[in-house]
Amino acid sequence: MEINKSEKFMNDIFDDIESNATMLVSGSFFSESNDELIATPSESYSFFEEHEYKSVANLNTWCVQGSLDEKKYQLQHFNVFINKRKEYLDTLEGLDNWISGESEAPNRKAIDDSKFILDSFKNWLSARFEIPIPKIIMGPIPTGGITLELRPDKFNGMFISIMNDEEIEIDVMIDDTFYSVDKESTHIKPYLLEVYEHLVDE
Amino acid sequence: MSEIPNGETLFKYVYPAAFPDDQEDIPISIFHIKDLSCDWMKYRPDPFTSFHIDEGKTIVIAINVCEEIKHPRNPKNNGKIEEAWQQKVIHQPVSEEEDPKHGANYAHSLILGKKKMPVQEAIKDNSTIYGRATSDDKG
Repeated sequence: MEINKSEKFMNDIFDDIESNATMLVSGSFFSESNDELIATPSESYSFFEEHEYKSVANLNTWCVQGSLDEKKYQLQHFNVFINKRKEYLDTLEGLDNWISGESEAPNRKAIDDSKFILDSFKNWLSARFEIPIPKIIMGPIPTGGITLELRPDKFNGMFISIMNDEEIEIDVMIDDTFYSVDKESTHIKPYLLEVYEHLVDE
Repeated sequence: MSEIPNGETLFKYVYPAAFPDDQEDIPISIFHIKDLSCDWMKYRPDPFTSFHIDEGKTIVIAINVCEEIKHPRNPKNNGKIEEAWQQKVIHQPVSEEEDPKHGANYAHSLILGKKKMPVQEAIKDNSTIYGRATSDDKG
């Protein structure tokens, strides 16, 4: 069967993870160095100076590519959006009996890891004006944890599930096809942003 | 216990604060559980009569039972049905003895099977927000 570009990309990522696994530090997913995930903005932009700030944009729509000024405007809204979502995540601790059936609240570690990922993407996107801002959807997991969905469009996305027991599941959907990273997820950390970049390149 | 046919509707109940208040999409995360507990519309035509509404789980999500949920296909495998992803959708009433706090629930049903992400996506793709209970509804 012919291997397409996306499948090759994911296979290369997994091979890279395998070959580097012994060199990387195992343990908590985010408690080690976060250098790979955090980027410094290459251009600064004012939060209020260049555009009239009205309210948080409707980020329930798919991302839109636009001019640099439009992107700056989107980034301003995205920053506000991320701060609102971090506030929301803090409210989930202790949220018992929230869904019919089994219903466990996310624990503090899952919440803090989720907030860290959001901040990392926010900082990374601030430095990459060419990368479209994803639609971000999130919610708790009935058995305990949180899933973050980063979707540049309906057919592509990255899904990060942070379980209360500190297990991390990462799935990538490229052109409606899923690639699951269900082993040694700890080691995909340096590749997360590379994977997202591939998604939006497709 | 019997299998629920395609075309039927199942209800799931969620507490509003579980979702960001301005988020329009149903998060995929709520389907991430092996035994997904629901009510079958056939035996609970009005979901707002459920005890879950009384408990504040006032967002009602409707799941359309279909082949896409029962037998998800894998594009990586030439679009064939992926055995490990298959789900059983069954009617499994709860008796008063099993749930003395809430009483019997004849509508109770389950979507059984490991919920890998493609399965969660299939369920989400076939789900909609049916409605939100108001103070006029039971509760």
